[in-house]
Amino acid sequence: MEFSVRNWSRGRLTASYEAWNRYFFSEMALDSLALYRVFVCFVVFLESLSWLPYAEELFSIEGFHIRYSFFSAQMSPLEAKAFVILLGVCSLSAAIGYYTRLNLALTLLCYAFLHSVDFINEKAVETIVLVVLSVLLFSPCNRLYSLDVYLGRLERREKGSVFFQRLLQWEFVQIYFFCGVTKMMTPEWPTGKVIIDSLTGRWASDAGIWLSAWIPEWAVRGAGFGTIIFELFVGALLLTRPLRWLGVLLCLGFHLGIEIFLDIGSLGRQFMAADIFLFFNPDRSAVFIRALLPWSRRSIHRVREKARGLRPAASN
Amino acid sequence: MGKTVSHTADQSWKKVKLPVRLAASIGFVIWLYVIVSGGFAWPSGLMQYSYWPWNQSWFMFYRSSGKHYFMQAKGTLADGSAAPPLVDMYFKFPAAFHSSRFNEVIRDDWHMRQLGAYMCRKYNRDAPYAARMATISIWDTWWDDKRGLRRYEHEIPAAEKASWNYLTDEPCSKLEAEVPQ
Repeated sequence: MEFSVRNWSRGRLTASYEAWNRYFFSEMALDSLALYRVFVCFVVFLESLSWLPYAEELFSIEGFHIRYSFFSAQMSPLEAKAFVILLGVCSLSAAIGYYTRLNLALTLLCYAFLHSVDFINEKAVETIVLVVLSVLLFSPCNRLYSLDVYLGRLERREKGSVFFQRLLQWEFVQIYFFCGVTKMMTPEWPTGKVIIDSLTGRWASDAGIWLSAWIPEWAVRGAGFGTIIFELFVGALLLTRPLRWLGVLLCLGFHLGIEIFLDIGSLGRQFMAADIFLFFNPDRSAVFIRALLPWSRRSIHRVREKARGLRPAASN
Repeated sequence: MGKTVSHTADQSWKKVKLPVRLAASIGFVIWLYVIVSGGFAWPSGLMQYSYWPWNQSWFMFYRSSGKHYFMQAKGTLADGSAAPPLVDMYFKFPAAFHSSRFNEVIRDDWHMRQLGAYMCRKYNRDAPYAARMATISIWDTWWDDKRGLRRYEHEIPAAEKASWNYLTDEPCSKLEAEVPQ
């Protein structure tokens, strides 16, 4: 058999091209992406509820704001309250899948606008949610577990291109990785100083204060160093098949710990949702999800049958 | 007997049209380049090459001072008496433990003058002329955090506290004229 470099390189190129396309554009089950949409939007809804009593201070012209950007708080207290209510209604509607795409767009707009008004209370999670909502807006996450499908407004699709889920995976992986890089460059992290300062500082929960009282020095140093290692390498675990489950378990433990010991809003919940829904193989997740939620298939099937029965016979 | 291989799953990407795949792939590569270059640029001191919104998500708890900072404000009325507690009146949102949004404002001269002007303007808008606020002071107090304890300002011995004045009896008229509404 004659070996040809041209054929060999062409073969390699074709294989890489196919592998790239398979990785980004294969059709896979939409269940996990759809449930991720439900969770993200529901967390945004809860966040809007927590803002509502303080809408005047946070977003209206009556509150104190720093005008860094083009946007400034020019809303009256009533308008600010209405805007937060609108965010709540839209995010809840997007969560239950009622006019999903429209409500995702409105949720994104409201959230971005409110974020731009209140820079003082700016939180990292808000920028993460903005990126996530932007990706979900263009994705087919509305084709499952949504009222749009249940009411027959949209056709149910069990499979779709995996591209948007890949984007979200890479978004979270880069956050882990560059958080690790930043911590690695900060001298207080490997010594664990930031860990103990956080457990005694103003972001600490009661459990965090309690833990800081007795945690030994070696554990503090280990936690600091371990966090850096974890953040630098967990992305590789999450993106590769054999150890993905380990990556997800580590992430869940990490964020659960943060949720227990620090009081930093919805950050941990958003990350845990991403870890659970985004990283496992969508087709395998779908089998698991459908086994857990058999009602979803049965009810949709029932509605379809009913609709079929009510439809007038075709005249031919 | 030849081996039968199903290509159904493998070839499903072909359902996405080539121009769409091309555009999405180029978009992904550009997106990744922006993030990766920015992610390494920021800790290297080249912050201008890291872009919003991604650069906002990398600095969660990246440093800490180990101190509890507590900023306060005090107004003096035209008749020389003290104004009611300003911070409690205008900043109710709990940003963190024992910390309102007032306590989250960046500590520099520009921000402090904005803050002073805001509180003067807000108080004087509703107050009768004779009871207007004439001056305002804003200062910071800080103390070391202690393991296993949450400590309020009044519980800290004076020897353990330090403070810094940002505005000291600054006339409200000056601040209000200086800072646009």
